[in-house]
Amino acid sequence: MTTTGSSVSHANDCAHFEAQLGAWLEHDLDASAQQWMTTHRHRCAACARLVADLETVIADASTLPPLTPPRDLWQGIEGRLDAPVIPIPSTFVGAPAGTPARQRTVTVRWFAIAATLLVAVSSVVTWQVARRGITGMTSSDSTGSNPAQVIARADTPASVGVPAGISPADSSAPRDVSLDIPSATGTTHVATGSPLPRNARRAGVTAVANDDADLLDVDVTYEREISALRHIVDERFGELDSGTVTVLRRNLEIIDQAIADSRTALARDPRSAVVSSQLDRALQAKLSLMRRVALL
Amino acid sequence: MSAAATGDRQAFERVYRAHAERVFSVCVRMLGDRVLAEEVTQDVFVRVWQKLPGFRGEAAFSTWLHRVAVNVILSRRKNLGIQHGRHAEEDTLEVTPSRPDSVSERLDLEEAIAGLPAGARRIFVLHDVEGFTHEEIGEQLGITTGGSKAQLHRARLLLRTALTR
Repeated sequence: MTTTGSSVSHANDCAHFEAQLGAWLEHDLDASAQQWMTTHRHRCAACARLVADLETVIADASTLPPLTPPRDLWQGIEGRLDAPVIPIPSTFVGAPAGTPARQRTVTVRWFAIAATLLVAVSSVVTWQVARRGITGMTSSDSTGSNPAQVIARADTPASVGVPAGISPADSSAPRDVSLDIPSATGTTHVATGSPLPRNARRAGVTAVANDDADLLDVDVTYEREISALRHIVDERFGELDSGTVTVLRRNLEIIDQAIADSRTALARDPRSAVVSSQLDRALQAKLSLMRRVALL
Repeated sequence: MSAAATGDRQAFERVYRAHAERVFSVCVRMLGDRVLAEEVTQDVFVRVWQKLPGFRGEAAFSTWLHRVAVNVILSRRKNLGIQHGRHAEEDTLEVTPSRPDSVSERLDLEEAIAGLPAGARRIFVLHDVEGFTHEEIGEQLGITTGGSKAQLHRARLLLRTALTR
């Protein structure tokens, strides 16, 4: 819409000019509006000054000189490239003869530990979750499903990582852990180190744990692997830059909060499939993040 | 470049030396935080090292590098949820321009850019400093071209106000 200068006040013209200025500078106006803007600019000193100032800003911005880092950043960069590495043969299949092998920044130690953990976690957790989905439903039917009783049973050692029939005080009893990491049977939050609320154990999970064939319940499996990964993550935190670590810690805290909230909700409503599913997702999110950190 | 892409670290260091200033500049201006910009500059080159084998040479290396840098910066900003660089003004003022012949006006503009709200600053730097189109900015930031244009105009007006105060 074009406004003629004779039909509106000068102030209104200026307001209209300013309103269309952004589009004018981007050449987004039609021909008549463009012409009106050009005409007004030539008639109005204030608007002409505004345009001139903006054109100066635009011109200066496009010619800003590069800024020099206050220190040499190469050392820090090189340090992050410089871990002992192993070549991955499959990367070079089909490569032309004589092509130098590009090294991957995966250390032998990290590769071995992370690969073992990923396989163990994926297989065990998937199996347990799938089994719980079946057994949990069955057990809640067959046990009479008194939530209070189930939660009370969930406080027993069997539900927090010790195989059925083995007292946690029996230090001579062999631990049922696939990875011999000292805190692997611990039940603490990775980010906070605080104990997990035991009364938030799921009914279905406990029922599974009571089955001799299932020495591990899902929560314990999660916590075991999270605890194992924690050692790797803690070491990686010592190697990553502080900004990255801050972000990762914050994310873990957020996930931990989601886990705690889900556990609390599940304690109130142990048979809630929605809450149980939400807790699983939160635990999986935590594992997923920790795996990524381990492989960074 | 090809040597760096095949894992030659000395060659990659030469790549770093040749492009560090430009990457650092865009980091400082988009983040409004000099210390953070140093970290992100390092992140950018680590990322470039990882992605170099996939660089096909379809675009100029400097263009490709610049896009990687912007992606890393945007990712970092998103993660940190930076709303506004509180220390941006003094941090940016500490930075020494590599061509010291333009001093006061350049620093005024640098300071004014650092003082912009984060959203407006990001778009101003991408468009008016780095030369991206609104379509490219919209794609990178997940906004419409209209939104990009509106933010750009807002940024320019704010800069004018700051510079003519």
